[in-house]
Formats: sequence, structure tokens, C-alpha cells
Amino acid sequence: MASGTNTVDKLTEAQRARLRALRRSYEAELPEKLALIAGAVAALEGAESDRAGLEQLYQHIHKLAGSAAIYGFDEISRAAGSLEAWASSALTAGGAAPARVELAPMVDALHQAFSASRTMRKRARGAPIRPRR
Amino acid sequence: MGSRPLKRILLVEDDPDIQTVTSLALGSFGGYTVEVCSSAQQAIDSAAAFAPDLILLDVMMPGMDGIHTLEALRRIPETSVTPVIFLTARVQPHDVARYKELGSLAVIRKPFEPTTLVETIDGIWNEYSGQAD
Repeated sequence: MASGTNTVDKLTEAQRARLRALRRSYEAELPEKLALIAGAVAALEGAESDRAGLEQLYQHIHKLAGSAAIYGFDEISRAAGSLEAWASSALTAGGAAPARVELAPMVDALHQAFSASRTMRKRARGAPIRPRR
Repeated sequence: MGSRPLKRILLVEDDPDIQTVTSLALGSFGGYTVEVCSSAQQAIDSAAAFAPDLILLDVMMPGMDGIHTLEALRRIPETSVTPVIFLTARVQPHDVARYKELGSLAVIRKPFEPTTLVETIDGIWNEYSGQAD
């Protein structure tokens, strides 16, 4: 299996800037990706069996788990990975409807990871974190 | 001992976010000519005209997966012996063994670091082209 050493220092500033811009663009799309996942989870709740719905959830989660890590959102990737593993097992088991209690903690963890990434970015920029009302 | 230059890469990847960052890394950072295909069928349709030096192939794609995509590309004269690198999170020992059986040069594990992707591929290619001459 291939591996490499970190060569970020070998990139030009223009190249690093393009990567940063790409990362910002990806981050801006995260709420939409999370909404897709939330919608897929909601569609599964209450259904006795919905293999197609479970496959759709799996695809959304699989994409997020993979791309988030590549773009540097490791916590989001890890949280998505837990949900991905669950969805994969559920598909292997025949696509039975999930119990809400199984999914809720993992979905919450995903949202928390997203919130944490936004908090970190705000802190890095020096913006104050306003308390929720 | 000479080495064959790597100039043209066929990227077969269904995730648009991974397509974008991989294209940036390979095209802008690595200077390669990259053809991006979102599906097996697109790859099969593009392969002959594009005539890649190397194929970067995702494994888990909707519809036809990477394994079957490779088998289809091998039936096209222009890509019957084109070197392949699998780009995948599926790297269990039995998966990697399968990729090797199919003749892949290497497997690059997802998530990969965009800033090191070119160096990783260059290393694989240099080893391959040195052995091929």
C-alpha cells in the first residue's frame, strides 16, 4: 500500500491558497450534507423495512465520511464513520428498520462534530462565541 | 535504465468533492492531464479517446463498482494493460489481495492527504516504470 510524507511545504503559496479556498467551499456545503443525512434518517423512522432508504442513507454517510477527512474535517469524518458502520451492518442484516434509539446518538455526534468544527474556525479567526439564547 | 513519463491520468470517482480535490492535486499541483469520470460507464466511454497512462480507480461506486469497471476497461484495447491504482477505503487484507490479483500497481487508502497525493503517485510510477523498462 502506498504512503507518502507531508509535502505541504513544497506547495507554492498560490497552491496552498487554492486548497484553503476549496476547503472553505466544502465547509460551506456541510450544512446541506448534514440536512440530506437528517432527511434520510427521518425517512427511515417508523418504516418496518426500507432497504432503499437505508441504502440512500448509507450513500450519503459514506460520501461524507470519506470526503470530510480528505478536506481536513476529521471529527466529522469519524462521527460519520460510526453511522456508516451502523448502516453497513443494517444493510448486511437485510435492511430492517432501525430503532430510533440506535441512530439518535450517532446523528447527535455528527451534529456535535459539525458544531465543534465551526467553533474552532471562529476561534481561529478571533471572533467571539456568542452564547445560545 | 529509462523511465516512462506519466502525463495522462484517468480518474474514476463518483464523489464530486473527492473529484475536485483530487483533480486539483493531480492537475494543478502535479501538472498531469486529468480526465474525471463519475461512473464506470463514463470511464468506459472515455477511455479509448483519452488513452491514459494511468487509471486511478475508486472501488465503491453506485452501479458498477471499481473491480468490475477494471474488468470492463481491460476489454478495451487502449486500456487492456494500462496501469491501475485503486483509491479506496476498502483496505482489509482480503480486499488488498484481490486488488493485487487484478494487477493493480498499488492501493492508495482513503482518506488520503491531497498535499502528498502527487508524491505518492510519482513514487509508485517511478517504481513501476523502472521495472517495466
